[in-house]
Amino acid sequence: MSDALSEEFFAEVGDKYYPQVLEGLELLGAGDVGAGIEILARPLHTIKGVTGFMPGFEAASLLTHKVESFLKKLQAKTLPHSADNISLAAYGVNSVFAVIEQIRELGEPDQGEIDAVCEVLLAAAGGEKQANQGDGRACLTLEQDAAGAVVRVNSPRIHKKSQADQLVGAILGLPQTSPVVLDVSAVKSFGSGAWEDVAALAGMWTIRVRGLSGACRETFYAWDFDAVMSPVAECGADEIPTPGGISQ
Amino acid sequence: MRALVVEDEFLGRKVLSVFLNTLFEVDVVVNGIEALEAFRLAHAEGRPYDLLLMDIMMPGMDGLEALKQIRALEQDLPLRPRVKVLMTTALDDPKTVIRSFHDGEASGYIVKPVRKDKLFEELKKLGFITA
Repeated sequence: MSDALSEEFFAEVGDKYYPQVLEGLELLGAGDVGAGIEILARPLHTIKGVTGFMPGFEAASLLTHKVESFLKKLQAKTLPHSADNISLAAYGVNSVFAVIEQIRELGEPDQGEIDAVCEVLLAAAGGEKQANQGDGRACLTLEQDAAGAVVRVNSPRIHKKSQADQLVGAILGLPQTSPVVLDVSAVKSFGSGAWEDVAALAGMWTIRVRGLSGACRETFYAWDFDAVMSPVAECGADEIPTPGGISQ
Repeated sequence: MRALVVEDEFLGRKVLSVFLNTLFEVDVVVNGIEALEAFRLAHAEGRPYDLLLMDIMMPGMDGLEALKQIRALEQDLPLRPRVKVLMTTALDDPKTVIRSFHDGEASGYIVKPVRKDKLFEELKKLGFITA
């Protein structure tokens, strides 16, 4: 039954829901938020319900539930129809389809990605006030140890521009004469955009990265950031890279 | 809270009522036509149902048609909040499952036999049980 349901479901997703969703997203993008959400509601509700009923698809159901809640808040205008919130809604909807595709192709979703999407939606759904507080909250602490100045990242997810700005700001405030260690031991996922912002400084500061793991590590290597920022574990005591990533 | 059990089998009605009666004031009807009538009456009394357990295969009017008409009523009048509906049925073919969620906007789907733990798991998802 489950295979037959999956087959039927995927056919419906491709033939029916995806075109509806594209239409809904187009309306959202054009500023017609109410009509856009009205069109998005039916396919998303169906995806949530059916994936919740299909073994192995529970993560997709949970993510869809979060996206649906976010859309309902936009619809009820408890969240402002700001450009950021509209973009986030579209991002959430697209993530649902990406996760379904991952499960279909790989047999399981990228849980790090799901967690990251849920966290961003949750932060935004907390309202502008809470979101601003979140943006203002320090996601890092500065320390000094034998390896040099340590920028310790405390937030488990680094995806917001404001978080990347904090990291960049912290590094900009450090002397260029000594190496900077970016400690990401507490980070579960780190967006490629945030990595790019930090990597842009690697020509001027010697940046080493410590504590890479999980989705954070995967993104780091997938985007070749190890070419400009050396992971500490792969770098001996005498191999501190010079700015630009070339070892002395 | 109020719940309506829509079920044509005597034993099914009995079991579902017993499962629910610690949490809900439970009414029971035997087909889709009676379900629609009970739904209208509950709104007219100002005490709408919070939950419907809806069988699909029933004489007279089946559960999917009844749900479709309930959603149409909610849309036209309009009635808010929309009632949460758990489909409780022996049918598990893909088209029926998808149709229940898409056309009927069902909140959940349980394939018979309905076990108490499965039912309560769904009730928890819907926010009727918080523990």
